[in-house]
Formats: sequence, structure tokens, C-alpha cells
Amino acid sequence: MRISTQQFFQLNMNSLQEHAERLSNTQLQLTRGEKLLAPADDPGVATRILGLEQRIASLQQYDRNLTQLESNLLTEETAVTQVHAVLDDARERLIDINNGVHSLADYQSFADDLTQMRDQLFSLANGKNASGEFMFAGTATGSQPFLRDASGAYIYQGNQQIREVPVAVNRTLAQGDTGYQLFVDIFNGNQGVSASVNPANSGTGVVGQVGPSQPGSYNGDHLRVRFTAPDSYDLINVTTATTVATAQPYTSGDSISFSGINITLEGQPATGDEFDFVASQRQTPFSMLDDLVNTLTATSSAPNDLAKLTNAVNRGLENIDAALEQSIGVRTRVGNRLQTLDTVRDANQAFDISYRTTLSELQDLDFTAAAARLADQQSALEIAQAAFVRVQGLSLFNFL
Amino acid sequence: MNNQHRLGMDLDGLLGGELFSIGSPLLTPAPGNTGITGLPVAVSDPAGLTAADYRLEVDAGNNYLLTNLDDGTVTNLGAVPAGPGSVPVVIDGLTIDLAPGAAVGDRFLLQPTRGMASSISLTVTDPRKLAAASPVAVSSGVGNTGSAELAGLQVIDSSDAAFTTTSGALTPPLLIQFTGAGSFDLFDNSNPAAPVLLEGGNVYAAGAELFPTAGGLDYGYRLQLTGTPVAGDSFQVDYNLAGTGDNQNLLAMVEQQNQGLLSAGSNSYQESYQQLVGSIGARTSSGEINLEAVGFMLEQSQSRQLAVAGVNLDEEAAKLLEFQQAYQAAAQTISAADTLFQSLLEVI
Repeated sequence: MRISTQQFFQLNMNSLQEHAERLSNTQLQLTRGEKLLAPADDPGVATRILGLEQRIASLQQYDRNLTQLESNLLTEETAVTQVHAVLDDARERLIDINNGVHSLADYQSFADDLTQMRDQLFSLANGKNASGEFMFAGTATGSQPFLRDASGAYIYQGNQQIREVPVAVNRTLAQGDTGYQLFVDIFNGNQGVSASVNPANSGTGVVGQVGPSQPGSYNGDHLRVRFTAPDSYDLINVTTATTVATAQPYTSGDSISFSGINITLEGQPATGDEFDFVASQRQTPFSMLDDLVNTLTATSSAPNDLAKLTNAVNRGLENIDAALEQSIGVRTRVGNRLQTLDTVRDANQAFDISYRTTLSELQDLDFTAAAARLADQQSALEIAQAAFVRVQGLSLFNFL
Repeated sequence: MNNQHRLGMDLDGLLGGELFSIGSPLLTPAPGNTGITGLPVAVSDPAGLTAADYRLEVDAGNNYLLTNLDDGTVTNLGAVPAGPGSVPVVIDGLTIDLAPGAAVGDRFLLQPTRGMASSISLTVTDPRKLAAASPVAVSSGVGNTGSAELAGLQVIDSSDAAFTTTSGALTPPLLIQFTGAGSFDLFDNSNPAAPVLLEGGNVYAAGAELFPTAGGLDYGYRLQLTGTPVAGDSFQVDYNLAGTGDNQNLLAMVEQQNQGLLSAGSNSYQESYQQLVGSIGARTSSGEINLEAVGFMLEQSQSRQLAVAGVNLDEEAAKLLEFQQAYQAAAQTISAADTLFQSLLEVI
């Protein structure tokens, strides 16, 4: 083929350009450390890289959520453990009251102890977490969850919702428990039956064990044992206004079963004394401790007052057991959540590593290969330049 | 995203507004319009939008014609209304209000999506205004003895009268009073001391939707309870006024990340973005290949052209030498002839 001089220069320029372009691409890849300089280099890989980057970013957010969640759960666990310890102390104190003979001054100091415990429980219930939010207010985290109103009643101001924190794709974990669950949702009495003693009782009758005779046998009616003589009582269903049985013989320590409940009575009731049994109701540990403190400060050393105190302490023990059970339940849930949190974190980390490995394979440059390619392309460019310079010097005119 | 945000409640206890603002379609009137210089156009269904531009004109028959400038299809939207009041027409995800008063020959350029992406802006800049909470809260009565509890709560329409009648309150707040394990009465709890019966004898099944009720009561939210209630158990549905730590609506907004909301429900936001990048990348790539091929063709053609028409200096030098030598040879001939003539003349 005939080669014109212009053509000769153009062809050489084209090939030099091509070499320079390849060299600059390799150099850019090396400086950025990435295979792809633009999505057009490999659109399929570019979209996969975007997907992976998004998933890794989500995992990082989940990890931050987990850290925050863990801190909140650990704070809650500490608080619930404290609640449990205070309730345990109160329980011991009640057993102390029931064991042995105490002076009125002793009862006063017991009352002071229990007041302290109530205050401690109350302050725990209104505790804040590391972010300054009320821990046991549900999602109403801005206002104090428990208040004592002028009449001495305790009001739960929080709500029953709990914040869920996303910790993995389609997976959320509750950030805590509400004050309702820990302090309000506690039924007094035993297994649905709660006993009370008519304040007007003049005898020394004490209700010992209370409960349904079989699980589920009690239908929630208001039942009453009324003594018609110190050794004889009637069984009455107040709700239906019917008398179940009359003139039952009584000896101290008797176990009485009627209308689905089973109770034991001790001591010596007087004629006209009444013992009432109703369905359990929700009662906060604060108001329960308050009731005990009131009974303790009001008591005299008269036998019937002491019997009332023993009754109140027996009821208190039932209620504290229910509160303890509730706090154990909450603590177990917190523990379960912490365990789940660890599992989820491990899974997230495993995903993170696998995503990053894939991403690195797709995106990262093989530096050895790229460096070798750079040297290769550089020498190719140099040779092309040298050859061009040498060949362009060839001209017939040099010989004229 | 905006829709979900509107279903939430912000820190001040108000319903959420628009989280992002999106620009409206661009409508440019032709300079010579004699009737009207504009008419309202809005995006009514983002999923139905196309990337095309349109020409809107009034033809000789006094009809609005819409021409899709991408494929050339012409749609007759209807006659210019006599007025007063305009006639809305829905087409390709747009609602065009055909205005009265347009004159024959009026023309507009309608660009629904041009500049749309650059006009999206964040309207909520105060963190207090972020509607993270659910505006509805459900609480169980303290006297409840059954095992029924809240299983789910979703706000689906915050423009319902229940939310809009009084700002920051539900109208009415509800009381769900169970009359047995399988039935409940619904009360208006505006006055908790004396609830007013709205609908009695509703059937309860664990996990089932309570709304809309058999009697058709619907307050713009959905509620599911689970467990077994006993007669006398109650649940209260109120405005979530104290719920400053609530994040249910934010969770629902975050959840959109994983949902297929685009391309008729098959793609998430991220997947759509990936698809966009992928398709632009593929087009760029095929453009590069085309460029390369065309470049080669250009090179070849130039080569061919230069091969025929170009100048090779060596060739020219050789020719120069050739002509030079020919010239020298010719000169030599003249010189020889001259010598011959000289010899002849000398002889004479």
C-alpha cells in the first residue's frame, strides 16, 4: 500500500495516543485502588457494588443501633435487679414481723424500713437511662411515669407502648419494658384470689393460705366467711347473695373449701367476724407497701390488732411474691433480649464480612497485576516513541 | 415516603406534613398566545408518569390537543369548557385542568419531569417536626383480667375526620369494652365518666382487624388484639399525646427501604437506583464501543483517502531527482547539439 507522509504521521500519532490512554487508565486505577473507574466499565458489576455498599451501610447502622440498645438494656437490667433486691429485702422484713414477739417501737422501725424501701422502689421506677429518658414510661419518655397524688394513690402516667429498634433486616428488638409491666400489672392475692379482713373484726382470726381449690375453679365471685359463734361460721356468696352453707363447725387451723376456693383459718374469731375473698386486682408494690406501713403504724398491742397485722403481713407476702415473680419475668425478658442481641450482632458481623469480601473481589484492584501492567504499558509507549523518532528521520531529502 | 410521614405525629403532638417537596410540572406558554397564558397541571399518579414532553394546543375545532413529543401520539382532551370552572382530565399520571377562555391556536410546552429531580427538597428542617411517632396509642384497662393484648396498630389515613376534627386529639377517643370472650361494644370515650355507645355486639376474633366494624365504623387506623379477653376487659384508644419516645412511624418509614414500592411493586428504592445506574452504564458502554468502531472506520477512510491523495515526501524526492536528471539529460542534449553546431561552424 502506498503510504503518504501525512498518513505516516497520523498512524503514529494514533498509536501513541492509544498507548498513552491505556497508561493513564492503569495509572488512575492504581491511584484510586479500584478496578472500575466508571459504571460504563462494567455496568453489571457496578450495580452489584452499589447493592453491596447499601447493605454494608445498613449493617453499620444496625451495629450502632445494637450498641445503643445494649446500653439501654444493661441499664434496665441493673434497675430491675435493684427492684428485685428491694422486694426481696421487704419480703425478709415481713417474715421478721411475723416471727416472734415485737414491741410497738419495733413495729415503728419496721414501718420506717418499709417506707424507705417504698421510696427506693419509687425512685427506681422513675429512673432514667443513659440518654436521659425515663426508662419505665413506655414511649412517653418525656414525663415522669409514676406520680403520687394528693390522696396517696399511685398513678402510672406512661403508656403501654415500647420502642422497637431495628437490629437486622425485618428484625426489631424491644428497647425495654414499660412501668406498667414491671410495677402495675401485678395481681394481688394468690392465683386469682385475694383475701381481706373486715376492719371491725374483734377476734384474732387470721387467714393463712388462700387460693383456688383447683386451677381455674374460682369464678371471681365475692365470697365471705361469717362467724355466727366463735366455733361456727356461715359460707356466703355475696355476689349472688346466696348462702352456700350454714353453721359449719370451726377449730383453729381448719382448711375451708367452698365455691372453688381453698383457705385456712387460724386463731380465735369472735361472733360477727367476717373474712372476704374477691378476685385479684392489680396493685402496685408502692401502694401495697403503703398499706403495710399504715397497718404497722396504726397497730396497738391488743390481740385483735395484732391479728389484723398478721393478716396484713400474710397478704403483703402474697403481693410481694407476685411482684417478685413479675420482676423475675421482666429480668428474664431483658436477659433474653441481650442474648438475642448478641446472636444478631454475630450474624450481622458474619454478613458484613461476607459482603465486604464480595465487594473487595468486585471492586478492589489487584495491585501486583496493575503495577506489572503499568510497567508493560510504559515500556510499550517508550518503544513506540523511540521507533517513531527513528523512523520519522528517514527521508530521501537527507541524502540530497 | 411523604405519605407515610403524613401518618405520623411529631414531637409537638401534631400530625406530620410533607417531608420532601417536589416541584410541579413545567408549563411554558407560546409567546403568541391570545387566550390564556397558563393552566393548572399537577402530578396525580407518580407511577403513571412518562419521561416524555408534551405539546398542549387548542385546535381549529376549539379542542385541547395533547401531543406526546416522544412518539407523536395526539390525544384529544376535550373541548375548551364554557366556564366558569375548569374540567380536570387525567392522562399519563398528570391531572390537567382544562381552563375556559383559551383561544384557537394557543400552545403550551408541557415538561412534566424536566427538572423534577433537582427541585426535590427537604421541607422538614426542624427535628421536632419529624413525625416519628404514631398518633394513636392503645392502653389496656387496669381492671383487665383476660389475656387480650395489643397485637398491631397501623394508621392508614391521617386525613380521616377522627384526626382532623380537633388537632392533637382523636375525635372520638374510643373505649373497647368486652362483653365476653368473643364480643365487644364500642364506646365514644370523649367523656370517660359516661362513655356513649357507638356500636354494640361486635364480634372479636384473636388477631383479626377490629376496623372497619360490621356497622361500617372506620377511623383511619387499623387495630388488632390477640389473646382471650373476659367480659369487662377494656381497651382505650387515644391520641398518643405523651408519646415523645415513640418511633413507630419512623420504623414504618425505614421499612420502606426494604419494600418494593417502585416499578409496579417489584423494586425497592435502592434497586431502582441500581437499575438506573446499570442502564446508564450499559448505554455509556455501548456508546463507547460505537465510538471506537466509528473511530476505526474514520481512520480507515482517512487512510484510504490519504493513500490515494496524500503526499509521500520520499516519492516526491524521487520524482524530483528523476525530473532533475531528465532536465540535466535534456540540458546535456542541448549542450551536445551546441557542440555539434560549434564544430560545424568551425569547419566552415
